[in-house]
Amino acid sequence: MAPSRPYQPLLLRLLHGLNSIFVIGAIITGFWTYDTYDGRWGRLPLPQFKEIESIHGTFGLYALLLLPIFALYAFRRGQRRLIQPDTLAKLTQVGKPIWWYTLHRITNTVMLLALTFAVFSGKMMSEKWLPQGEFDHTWYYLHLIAWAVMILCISVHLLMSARVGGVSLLLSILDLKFRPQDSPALWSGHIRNWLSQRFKGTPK
Amino acid sequence: MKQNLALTIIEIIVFISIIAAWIIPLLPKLEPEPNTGSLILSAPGAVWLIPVAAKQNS
Repeated sequence: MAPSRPYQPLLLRLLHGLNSIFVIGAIITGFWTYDTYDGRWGRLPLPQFKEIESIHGTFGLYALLLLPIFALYAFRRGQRRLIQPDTLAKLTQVGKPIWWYTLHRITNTVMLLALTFAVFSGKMMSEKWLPQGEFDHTWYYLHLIAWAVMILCISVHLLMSARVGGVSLLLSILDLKFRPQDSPALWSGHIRNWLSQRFKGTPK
Repeated sequence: MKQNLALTIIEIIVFISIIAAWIIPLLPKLEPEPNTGSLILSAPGAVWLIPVAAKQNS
C-alpha cells in the first residue's frame, strides 16, 4: 500500500506560495540594497544597482498587502498549524513526535510575527535615507534585524517541516492538484457561510 | 474548543501592526528646519512652516 501523502488546502497553498515569492524576493533584494548602499558588515561582489531599493520596496509592499489575507487564513482556518492552548504542556514531552509537532507550530507562529515585524519596520523607513547615506536611523537598524530574523525563521520553518513530515510534507505545499471539495468554485459559498455565522449567529 | 489566548494576543498584535504600518507614515511630523530653527509640520503631500508669528516677532 502506498504511503498517504499530506494534503494542504488549495487556499493555503496559494497564499503560502505568493507569500513565499514576495518574502524571498524581498530578502534577496534587501541584501542587494544593503550591499549597494551600506555594506558595513560585509559585502558580496554584486553589481551596484541603485534601483534595487525600489524593487525591494515593491516586494515588501506586496508582502504587506497580502499579509492581512494570509494572517486571516492562518488565525482562522489554519489555526491548528499555530500554537495551541496546551503548547507549554506538550513542550515537556521532549523528543516525542508531539514535541516536534509543537515546535513546528511555534515556528509557524513566530514566522507570522517575524513577517509582521519585517513589513512594519520596512514601512517605517524612508526611501531617501540610504541614497543620502543616512544609515543611523533606528528603523533602518530594526529592519536589518528583521531581515536576519526572517532568514533564521525560514531556515527553522523548513527544518521543522522536514523533521515533522519529511520531503512529502515539503513538496505537498507545492502540489498543483486539489480535491473537488476544495475547488475555488465553492469558495464564495464558504465565505457567505462564514460571514453569515459571524454576523447572524447561526448558519443558514 | 479551548480559548487560545496567546494566539488571540498574537493575532491582535499582527493586525494592529498592519493597520499602523499604513497609518503612521501618513501622520504629520514636526521636524526642525535647519536654517531658521522653525518647526516644520510635514505630512505626505503637504508642508507647513508653523511659527510664522514667532518669526515675524523676532
